[in-house]
Amino acid sequence: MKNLFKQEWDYIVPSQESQDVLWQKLQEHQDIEQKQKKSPKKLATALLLTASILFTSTVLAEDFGELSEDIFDFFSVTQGERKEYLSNGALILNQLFEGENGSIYLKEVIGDENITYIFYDFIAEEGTVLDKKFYLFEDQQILGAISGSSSSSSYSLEDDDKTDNVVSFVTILDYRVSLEGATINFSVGDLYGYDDYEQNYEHIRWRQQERYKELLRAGETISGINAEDYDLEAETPEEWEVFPDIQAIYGNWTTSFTADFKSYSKLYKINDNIETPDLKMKLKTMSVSPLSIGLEIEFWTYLIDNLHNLGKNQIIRITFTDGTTLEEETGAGLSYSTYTKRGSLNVTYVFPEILEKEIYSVTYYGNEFVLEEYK
Amino acid sequence: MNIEEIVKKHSDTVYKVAYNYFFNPHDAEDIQQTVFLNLLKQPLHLATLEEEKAYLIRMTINACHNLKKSAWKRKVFFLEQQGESSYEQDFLNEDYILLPLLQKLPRKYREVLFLHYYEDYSVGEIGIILQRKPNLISTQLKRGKEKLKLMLGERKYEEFI
Repeated sequence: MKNLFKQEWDYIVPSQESQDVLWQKLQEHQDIEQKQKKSPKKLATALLLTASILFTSTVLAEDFGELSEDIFDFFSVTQGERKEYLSNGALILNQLFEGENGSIYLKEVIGDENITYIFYDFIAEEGTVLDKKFYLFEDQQILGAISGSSSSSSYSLEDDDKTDNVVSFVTILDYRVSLEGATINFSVGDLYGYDDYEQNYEHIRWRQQERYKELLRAGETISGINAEDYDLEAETPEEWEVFPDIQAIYGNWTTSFTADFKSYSKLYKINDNIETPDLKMKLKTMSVSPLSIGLEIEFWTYLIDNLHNLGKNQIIRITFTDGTTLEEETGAGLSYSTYTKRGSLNVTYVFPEILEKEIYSVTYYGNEFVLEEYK
Repeated sequence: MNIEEIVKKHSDTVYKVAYNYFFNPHDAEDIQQTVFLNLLKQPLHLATLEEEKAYLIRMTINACHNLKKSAWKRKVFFLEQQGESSYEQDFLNEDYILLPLLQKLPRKYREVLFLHYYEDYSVGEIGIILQRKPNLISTQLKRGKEKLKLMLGERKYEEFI
């Protein structure tokens, strides 16, 4: 029966003419989508011009859709193919929201199953020059509206033009789950510009001391702090008097948006054992993208020796299709229940630069897992 | 995987699933376009090629249901039932033995026979794709084979199958 079925059904194929129509329609729809993506940028550009904001090198990239060169520079992407790939998954925001003493211009969001990058500019009021070596927001709450453990870090990108009022930032959200489609609550306040890290450190230390003094003056007790070490009678000087070389722009900038980027990750269902003489676990899934690799591992606690050190300083080895390898120490998120005896280990490795080659296999605890397409 | 790769890999499967539903190349081509254009709006994020294929088969069957449900389609069906369709005539040539008979079977049997004998899916996998219980799939597979046997006649069934 099977052979006859296959033989007859093999002849049932669509006509070449209908396939040509299909490809043509797909192309038309993709063109329409591209045009729709472009329109918000035009609106934002017009808005910026109306506001007479000097805006030169950071936003108006024309190659590869709408992505700014900041992203490519940040990830050191050189290949046109990779640039196109990145552009295909990115959410182009192009949203300007104003606050006191400046505005935030949200540019792009990209991400995968493990990590999300938000690129944005701070635009100071006209006439202000942002020429410090680096900038940091004193208050920062950039969070995905989802549950789970997370960490975030932000920093200013290298500034091509030290004579303008624009400085670019990236915020990296490490949630170990995809933020695709989630609401991002974005709030930053009080921008400081520094000439070097020593200055930044001294400023933070000074602010900390001033906070202690305020609390001690209010009669609070602080663990580990002796009130007698502080001159609480002395008048608090102004910040700019103590640090005349630090640039400060005070204000709060708050908004929210939906992270409708397309995750670059490809999810592989593995369900294979990870075994060493000391442990036995199961690698459930592996997510792979040019940004990061994520391993979802499950185990029974009684099959693991030295449970507390599970995943600590473990080496992950990534083998590429060109035969080269990358070995790095990784951390992992460990959780387990002594009641159910079950546990999970989530390993994330974020590539320092976006990958421009293909992954062949991933090795963890000495067990190699070859990606499905190369088996 | 981008849409071009998905179309290249699965366009024949989508076409055959739709063809098996309507036994009409024009409808099958329409469904093929509908499925892939819909994919542009809701991109796939599936782990393996097999999962992707199973998802697309489900999507194709849903698109077929929708087309059949539409008032326009009901009218066309009515008109087609007035006379023999040209596709049945195509099957009168000797190249095809099973397909003309398959066409006469109720769709529920055609679906399971196609997925099992052409796409090599197990009873359990067909159950997942068609969202039916595996026991029901087993029964439908058995009855589908019995009906084919009856239509072919015992002797021819043995000869061809």
